Amino acid sequence: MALPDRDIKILVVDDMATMRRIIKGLLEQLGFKNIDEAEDGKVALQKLKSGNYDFVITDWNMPNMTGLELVQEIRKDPDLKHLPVLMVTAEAKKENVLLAIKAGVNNYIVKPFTAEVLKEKIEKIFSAIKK
Amino acid sequence: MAKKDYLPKILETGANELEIIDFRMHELLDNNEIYEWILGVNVAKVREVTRRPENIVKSPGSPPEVEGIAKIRGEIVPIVNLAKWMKIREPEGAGKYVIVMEFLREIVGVIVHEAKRIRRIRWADIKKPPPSIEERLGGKIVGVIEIEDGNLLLLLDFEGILDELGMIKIFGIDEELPEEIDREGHFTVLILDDSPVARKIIKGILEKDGHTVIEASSGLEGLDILNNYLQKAVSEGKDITDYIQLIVSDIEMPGMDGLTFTRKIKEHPEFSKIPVIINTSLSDKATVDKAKFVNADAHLVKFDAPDLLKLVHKYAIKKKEE
Repeated sequence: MALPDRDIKILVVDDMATMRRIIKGLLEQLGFKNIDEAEDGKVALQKLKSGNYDFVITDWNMPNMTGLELVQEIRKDPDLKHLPVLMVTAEAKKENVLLAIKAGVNNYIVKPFTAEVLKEKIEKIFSAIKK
Repeated sequence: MAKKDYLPKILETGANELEIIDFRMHELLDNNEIYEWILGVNVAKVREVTRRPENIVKSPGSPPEVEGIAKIRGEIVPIVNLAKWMKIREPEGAGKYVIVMEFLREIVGVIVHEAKRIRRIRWADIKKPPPSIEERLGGKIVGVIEIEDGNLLLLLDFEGILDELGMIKIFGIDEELPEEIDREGHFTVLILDDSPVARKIIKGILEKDGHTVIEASSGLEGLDILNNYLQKAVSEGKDITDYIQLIVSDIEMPGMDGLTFTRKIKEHPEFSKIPVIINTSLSDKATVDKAKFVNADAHLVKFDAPDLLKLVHKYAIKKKEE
């Protein structure tokens, strides 16, 4: 498995500025450069609708619109429904994971994670799409 | 609500009681009848109920709901006219009493029409306001309690009211997590309390002593913050205790209460390293027992500043000797 093109445009969605910076930092370690941020689901959705994004990494717990609701909105939108989404969660509880999968996430990652684990998740998502 | 069904009986909430002051406001209706509002406030927030002071001096620049300032027991206290805030027409000669509330350094008097009695109730008896009255009084009703004759007593959110009048400043929750600090008797403390005013008070005490404060309004939010710090620690090759050296948690919080939160912290391989002080207005033995049961490191009754600081310095994780 290999990582996708390093030029893909990624949107990182998290209400905590610190978390956005951390995820951005990890992505940069993996060689990605084209990274944008949004502080909640609503802002993310606006950005996604107006820009050409290739990949979304979103937190679950956020005010206004949760990550789960964001994924549901993405899957409903004819222009966005094929967009790969990685969900960041705090707990790997089975019922939560099932909820995320039902909502249409491509994969999920449990906090805390390393750049290595993030790399594996991204590889899995993009190799599954190529097939 | 947090899952409590599998918890031992000692951890079930509902046994805890609190005292509220039942006070009344009288509204003169258009047909000259008088409507009686049955209202309440937690005794823990009240310093005293007194006769309305004779001299209330207008203070320029304050909102119309603020009647002025008065001297009560030698202290200058701003006086709020609750009837004006409620936008009700008062019967002649109403407003004979003042409920003096205290938030550590801030004292506020509120003019009410009648101070009825003190009621002892259980937390479990406080219900969410039904939709029909939720929007009344500017949405500042935090709960309702059924009293005699099927009447409802409305518990008021005075913190929200005073915040609205600009008399106290409620802190927002910062979305940026503080960085690691140089720990020479100064610590980063995560505080959990659903009351913005309580958070403000604790934050004030801690910051004055040189500590950094991270705020959470419920157990769930506290866990979310800790998980983010754990992510930060892993990303930066550090330990969670490099960022947070102490947790101070309230008990009664919506969403996830402080006892459940503490139990989760103490069961977690990483979070359990952080000492937890349970900080609550409940000081009975049952509460202390519950705090011990969930492995809290210490228990403290709100809001004793010297005691809080003593415990902070005793329990916060000190810098390792290199």
